[in-house]
Amino acid sequence: MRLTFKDVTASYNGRPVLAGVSLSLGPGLWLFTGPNGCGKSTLLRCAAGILRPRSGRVRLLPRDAREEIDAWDDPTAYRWHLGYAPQELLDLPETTAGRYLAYLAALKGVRPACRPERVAAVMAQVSLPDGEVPAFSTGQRRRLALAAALLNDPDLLILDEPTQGLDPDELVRLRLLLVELAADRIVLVATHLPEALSGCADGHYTITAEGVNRVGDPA
Amino acid sequence: MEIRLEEVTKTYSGGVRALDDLTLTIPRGMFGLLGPNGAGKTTLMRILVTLLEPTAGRITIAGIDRLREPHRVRQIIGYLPQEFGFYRRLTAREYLEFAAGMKGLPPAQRRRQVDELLVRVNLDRDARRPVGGFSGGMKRRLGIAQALLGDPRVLVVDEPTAGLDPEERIRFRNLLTELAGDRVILLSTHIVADVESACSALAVIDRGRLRFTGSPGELARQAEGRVWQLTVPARDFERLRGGLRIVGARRVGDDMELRVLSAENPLGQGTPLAPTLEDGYLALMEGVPA
Repeated sequence: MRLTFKDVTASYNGRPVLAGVSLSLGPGLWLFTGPNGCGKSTLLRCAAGILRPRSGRVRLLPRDAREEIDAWDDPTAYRWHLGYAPQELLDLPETTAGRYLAYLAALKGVRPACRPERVAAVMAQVSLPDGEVPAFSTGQRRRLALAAALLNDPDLLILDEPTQGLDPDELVRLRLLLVELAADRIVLVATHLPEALSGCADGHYTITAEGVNRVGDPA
Repeated sequence: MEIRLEEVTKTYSGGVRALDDLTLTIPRGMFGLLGPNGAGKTTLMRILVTLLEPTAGRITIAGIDRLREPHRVRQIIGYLPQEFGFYRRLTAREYLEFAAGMKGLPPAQRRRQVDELLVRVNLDRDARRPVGGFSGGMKRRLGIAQALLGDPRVLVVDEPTAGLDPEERIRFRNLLTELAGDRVILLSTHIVADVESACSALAVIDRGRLRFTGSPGELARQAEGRVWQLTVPARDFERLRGGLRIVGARRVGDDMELRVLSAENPLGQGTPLAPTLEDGYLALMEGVPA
């Protein structure tokens, strides 16, 4: 299992933010930090196949696979291995968490016969009680977004600012969950609060105008 | 100069008791307010800034009776709420001049104060740009400038660092520390590190009740002798999670390095660690399992 960025160049609002980024990441928890506007979200969006790099390649070698999948050449296959929870919490419909996740499972192409089991599994995984979504706390909403990203049991999980709005207790819960999830998948997390997660991460990268650097590596 | 709350209770019309017999003194300087989501932090702040009336209790702010003289309180208090709307097309200067007018500052003072505040929050060079193009950090700094119009002696800021990047967060924290010298600044936050580095005193509230008040060091000491490092085989992690209060974990090869809160040495194999403020908070909030 491996995610590879090769010479990835990308722009945000017409402004170049990533210039020739090359990275190779295996299973584990990988943090990305940097000032607002530095390209963190852009990097994650390239990894999620939402934003097309101006040049370069993003490829994923899934679990037990022999060949890499290119995020842009074969988006359907790529997305089958991907879970993505964006920074913005959606205004969720007036429904229950269970029904909402069952609907998303259908959209993600989970087979009808497997859906109830998958929904129950991801809710248990993130310790989410079933209930009316509009009454959920911020922490529960974040967990719901994470559960949605896990529906297809992805090899590559991408989380943009998952700590935002979490109180210290919820933060501990997220930390342990991420460690567990990262044991056998690639987890990319963009965060403004690296100190909250760095103790459990396998690596920490900073993104600046000069490029992507691993924290702790000699410059 | 201080804020004194005595037996303050707030019950919302639906019967939810957001504050429950809260007695607390907030001294001069930076004072942190920590607590889980729904603890009553925002309710407390909204009562102080006269946007909400308590159901019972007494409050004085710098000697002024908050309940009898809310108009006088408004003259000495500035507020930066969690969600803050701007007119996107106004420039920073236009926005502050508008806010100064709304606050009733005499025209002669407006221009001078707006100029001073723009420098103070380091936005003087961006004063002519429309606010719509500002970063999150710049908007927060403009929000603080707005709250400082009229030179309030008390400043109330609700979750000011949410969404700021690490550099902006430190800059914003330093700005608050600088302002705190001769003021009371009440800072509500989820981010324990902000309290640790900026506040000389803090309170923890939970379900409307005061759970702790003291210095950051005193809160950390709530977990004294109860924080352990424990290394276990990774395959045991899942099983141990049920029985141990694990607050941190890191995979090292086939092992897991755990940070555990426990009154006794976990499995007899732990190495004691010095408690952090977060450990103290977590220990306080749940009582440490034996």
